[in-house]
Amino acid sequence: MTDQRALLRVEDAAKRYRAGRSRVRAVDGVTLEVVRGETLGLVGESGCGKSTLGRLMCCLEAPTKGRVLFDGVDAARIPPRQLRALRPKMQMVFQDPFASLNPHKTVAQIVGLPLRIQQRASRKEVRERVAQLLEMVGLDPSQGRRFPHQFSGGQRQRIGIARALACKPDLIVADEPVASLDVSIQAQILQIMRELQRRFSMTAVFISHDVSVVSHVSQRVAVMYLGKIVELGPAQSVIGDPLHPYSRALISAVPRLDSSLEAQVIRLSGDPPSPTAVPPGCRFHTRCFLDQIPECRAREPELREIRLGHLAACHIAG
Amino acid sequence: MTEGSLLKVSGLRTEFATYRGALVAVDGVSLALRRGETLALVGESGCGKSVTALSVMRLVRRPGRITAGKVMFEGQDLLRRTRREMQRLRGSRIAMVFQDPLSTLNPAFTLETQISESLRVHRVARGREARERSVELLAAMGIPSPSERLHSYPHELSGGMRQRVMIAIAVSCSPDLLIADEPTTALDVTLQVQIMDLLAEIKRTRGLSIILITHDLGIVSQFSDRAAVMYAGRIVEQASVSELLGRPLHPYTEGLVGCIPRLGRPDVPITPIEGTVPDLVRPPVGCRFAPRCPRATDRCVASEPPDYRLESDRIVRCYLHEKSSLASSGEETG
Repeated sequence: MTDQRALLRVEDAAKRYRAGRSRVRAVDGVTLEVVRGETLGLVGESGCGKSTLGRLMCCLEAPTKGRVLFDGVDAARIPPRQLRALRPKMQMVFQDPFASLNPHKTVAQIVGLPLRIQQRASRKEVRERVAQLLEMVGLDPSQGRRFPHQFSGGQRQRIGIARALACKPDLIVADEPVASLDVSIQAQILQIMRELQRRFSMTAVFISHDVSVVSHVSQRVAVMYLGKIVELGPAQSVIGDPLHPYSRALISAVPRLDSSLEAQVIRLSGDPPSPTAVPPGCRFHTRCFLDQIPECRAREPELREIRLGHLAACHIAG
Repeated sequence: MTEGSLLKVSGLRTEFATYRGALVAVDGVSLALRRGETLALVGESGCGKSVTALSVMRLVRRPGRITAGKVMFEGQDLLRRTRREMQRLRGSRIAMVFQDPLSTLNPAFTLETQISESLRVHRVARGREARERSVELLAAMGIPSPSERLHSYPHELSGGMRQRVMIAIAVSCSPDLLIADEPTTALDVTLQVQIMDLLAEIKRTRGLSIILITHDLGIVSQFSDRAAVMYAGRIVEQASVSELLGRPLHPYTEGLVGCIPRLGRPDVPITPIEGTVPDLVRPPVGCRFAPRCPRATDRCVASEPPDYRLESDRIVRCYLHEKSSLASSGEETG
């Protein structure tokens, strides 16, 4: 399971939050690795914990339990000074390009700030690098003097990507980077992501609720349900032939464009349970459509390799 | 063409006054909805699809104003009805379901109050009968233990349940036309399927006609009969769904289809549409899509193409299809 090339290792990480008297198990025991040069897609529905997991991976939050190792270093257990030196190596792209850019700063200032802080670069160096970065994401460097409100949503998302790339990070975590964009603009951003993968063999975690988008940019895909990874494997294998009943339902529910390829839609009943009251045994058993065995209610299934490199957490699958 | 059509919109124009001048959100939109069909209105944000629906319902608020056109519903022009007549029509004959059920349900009242209100206002039922009808409606929408649920407040329900309640209210007075504006956009895909199934079922059992507003071509493909694609306030293409998606004719439709990542087919490249939508206060003189169109000619930039009607009721607003047009002159250009 341990891969020497792994840039990021998440070991049995959990993140709990207190909400009044109840406790939210946002991330509930996740183990996975992100290998250098790959894009790992993280897909799941709202409230499944994918954003929290993304924040754990970027060391923006410390896990309540377990460890997150970035290049072998446990960021939660190093002094702040060292952590700060680690920061430029992991960068995040956020969903809302309106909220994540400072409205008082020009684009050049926004994109240049990480360079000034982290690399103590000279003005000239910053200027040159900013121009380079803007060009890389398909913006005209002359637009650097403008403010975020003068840009459309898609352009703002490009600015967010340029800022994340400023310090040449080893890892990019993109949390729903295209969720707020129209399809024609979404396609432009996805194109940029693929271009960056090709040019810099970027290592990335791509978080989205949209299975088609994830399948388009990722080499491996992890499916999350109620705080846990229920399936993990090569994108083609997970999307084309999912093993876990939840992934099967999720993927079958995506409306297809070509009705000739129409898969049999698996209809799940009811809503996902609340992360404050995770069902015992398999957390999916309350909505599962398979013929269940007593194990399903009694014991939580672990991720196990069913096909080569393709894991699922289900007692029955395979 | 008029036979069998429940709703016929022609030359609809809706403007919003801004400090920069009039923003024409809907500019000469014509469409017809046949009885029993689902017509999808597709397009990206700001293309005018929601404003078209609100104009049909006469729900456009200031600074918005409908400045031209006709909305014929069962032989009457809705744009000439009085406010009172419209109030009677809304909710009883034409109903609407919005995207966000949390902002359209009143947080201060129970479901019973909100469902029975429309029954009472439209004099369908009241008192105990209204309550019984409400329970039946909730049950028909697939809400478990409906009689207990009547006493719940909106915040006690999940997103999917709230949307079911909205649909229950919408169909409570058995309308002929249901306008669903992005009914599943706020929902996850596994819930989206449930809600779209429900809409399809009530359409079948209650003989409704539906205008489905969506930005998702996948939904269009799975849940509608015909579709109209909107771009910058205009309908650029109208066709049956299989034709539209199988063989898109307008370069914008083609562009939209090309933007969508195919599930499990990373080998099929996506081809983004370059550029952004035009400013609707000062729209381009020629075809509105010309600035972004890979196949635009000088003519496209200089003058706007009319609607060309092609075989099998297909309408395309693009010079590329002038030759295959049935009538030599374009019609219904607004």
